[in-house]
Amino acid sequence: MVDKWTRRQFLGAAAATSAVVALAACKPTAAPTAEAVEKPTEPVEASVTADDINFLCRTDIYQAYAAEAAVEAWNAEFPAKVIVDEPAGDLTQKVQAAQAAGDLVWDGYSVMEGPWATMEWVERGLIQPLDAYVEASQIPNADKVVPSIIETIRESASYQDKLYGIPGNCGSVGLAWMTEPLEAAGYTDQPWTWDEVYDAAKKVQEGSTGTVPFAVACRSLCDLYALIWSATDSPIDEDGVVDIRGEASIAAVTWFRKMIEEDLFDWTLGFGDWLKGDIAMIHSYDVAGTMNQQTFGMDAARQGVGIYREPDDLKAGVPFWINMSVLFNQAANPTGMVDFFLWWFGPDNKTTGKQITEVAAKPCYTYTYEEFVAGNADQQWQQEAIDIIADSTWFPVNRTWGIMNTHVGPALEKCYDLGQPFEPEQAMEEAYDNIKEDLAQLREE
Amino acid sequence: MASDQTLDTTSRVATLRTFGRVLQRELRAKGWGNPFGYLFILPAMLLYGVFSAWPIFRGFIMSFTDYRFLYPDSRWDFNGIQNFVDMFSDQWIGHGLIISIKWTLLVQPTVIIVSLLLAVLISRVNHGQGFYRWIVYLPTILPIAVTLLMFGQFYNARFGFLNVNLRNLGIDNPPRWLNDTRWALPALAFTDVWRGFGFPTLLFLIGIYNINSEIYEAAAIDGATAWHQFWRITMPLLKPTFLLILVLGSGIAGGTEPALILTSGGPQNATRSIGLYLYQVAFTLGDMRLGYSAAVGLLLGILSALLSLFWFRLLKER
Repeated sequence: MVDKWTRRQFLGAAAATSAVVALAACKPTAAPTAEAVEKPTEPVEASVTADDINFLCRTDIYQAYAAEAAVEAWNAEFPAKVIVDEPAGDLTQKVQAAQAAGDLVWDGYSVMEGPWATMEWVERGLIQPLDAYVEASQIPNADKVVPSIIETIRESASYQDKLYGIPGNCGSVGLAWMTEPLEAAGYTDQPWTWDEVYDAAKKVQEGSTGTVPFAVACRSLCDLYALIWSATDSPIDEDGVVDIRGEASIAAVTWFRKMIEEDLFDWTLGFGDWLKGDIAMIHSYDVAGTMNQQTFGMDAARQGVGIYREPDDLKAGVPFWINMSVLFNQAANPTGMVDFFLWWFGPDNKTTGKQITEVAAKPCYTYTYEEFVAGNADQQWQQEAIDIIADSTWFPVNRTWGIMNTHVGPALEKCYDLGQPFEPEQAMEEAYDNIKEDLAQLREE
Repeated sequence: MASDQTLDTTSRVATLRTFGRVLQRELRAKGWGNPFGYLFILPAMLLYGVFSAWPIFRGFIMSFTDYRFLYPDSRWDFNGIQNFVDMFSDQWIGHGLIISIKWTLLVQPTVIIVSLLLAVLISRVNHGQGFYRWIVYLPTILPIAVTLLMFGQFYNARFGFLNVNLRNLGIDNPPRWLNDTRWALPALAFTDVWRGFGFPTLLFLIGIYNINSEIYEAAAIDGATAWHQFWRITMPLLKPTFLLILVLGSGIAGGTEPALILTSGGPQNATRSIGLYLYQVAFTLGDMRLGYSAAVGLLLGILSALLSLFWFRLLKER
């Protein structure tokens, strides 16, 4: 029969057969899910064995947390050796693919940013809860670590009542400023309220040699969300979305628009521009001040806390996030990895506590504050900031973060664009409708 | 025993050899050529199959599923044509298509005009043609991320090279290129023109070099001016090159990388092309709906193919 086939027929048959074989080979493979992981029902046998600990660490965290010194000290003291690797490319997809193939190399990762990433990572089966391993750990003073986490932060690091990360430091939004233009404007300390920031910006502009009075590091966290937190007790609505249609949001947008109209706020600039030193004040992730101190000198810049609508009324506080070290599903040495995390951020490891205080800022443990912040005038702002965070409303652990930012950003840009009519209520309503539309596409829980 | 086994092995080898010779003779008789040739192209075929044919096939199948990357168990949730039905009610599909069409209208004619002009100029240079060919091709070989980050600095509203020089020339309020809804798309399109004009220039040069110079001599003798020679001789004879460049640039998903790196679809979604939207739905938003993105990708592929077919019909030799 094949004798009578032409070449075209033969190749066509070969292609069809290959396609059928390939389709048949694509049978669903069991992928790890949060439920599929065996939760240990008995206390995990605690030991720091001689098995290696394969640790994936982000490059900036490696420096910010003094990871190199920590790994060296750990490897000198404990039998299990930590081997550090740095991620390249999209980490989550690589890890998920490796877990599906059953050949994951790493045990844990620093850092995952919670709470906005927590649910996604858990639902994708990337990470597992730490509670049992923490309880069973016999690292000296391991039992002091989790109880010493500032409570709001510990709640934010949890999901469905399970702890999913060991926090390193806490990020939040605060005002940073260059001292020279602010002192010339009469401000030797942080402007605390929206009105004070406006006043300071105005004076910087009047005395300015071209310095931009005010900017924000990013949209929408460092502008709208931060000001919503500062102006209302309920920044999150019943759907778990930031209340962008509420009175606080409209007031914030109106304030920003006024700043733009008077040429006090250049909304096109960002964090990268702040680092050039030509902006007097920036509302940013609160490393902006310390980073410019390192570039321009300790006295050239300052880092403060957030700004508030009313003096002495912090409302919902400040939006914050946690940089957490997490344990992968299918980790080969989960006990070792958690032991290392507990030791790394524990009370006995002073080097990391000091480094986080001086560089990364806002550690998450009460013992670190007692040791390195209390009584230190240069770091007093951190105590103020963490006190605010302790009373702040946290972002809910859900999947709305990326969806919100996709629609709130353009709405804010519309409000900031002086060439367009200013209708913040309509812009936010439209953004909210788009957010709801995207949320409706999410799979039902 | 040993001699029986040896006889057995020998007869097997002889049978295989005979079979091989018969197969060779039969295939050669049918005009299939030397079967060992197929062995030589097998590695390339395998690579093509694994990295091109299989992803296309897999994407086609995925476009009929509700696969969400956040939920690995949804990989084979077939939902028929629901993804395509959803596209009709998705406002961002229409919005993205309009942005992509604008992008194509900005980039393609500009690339063709610029590269044709450069090719004609380079072909007339007496000395150093190799140097100029190298210069025009340099932007093409730069990594795309490097190029786009460079343009990000170039377009910075306050500190960028462009606006600093515009202010020095007396323009007090130059556009905020990447933050102005009127200028963001043209600004990004320029990055594509800058990256993309080198290869068409070389293609046009090859086409010009292949035109017999005697035709120009004969035209000159007949009194044709330079313009007439260009319009009546060069342009018609470059039709195959035009067709090649138009077909290669027929993709509707243009503008994805510049928007991804420089504007994230802003300002106010002015640069949120269909390609960027597809990327966001697949990898950043919500459940990461790979099935829906695959369906959008399939739509883009069909549109690109239709556009290529249009160019073929328009420019085919009669």
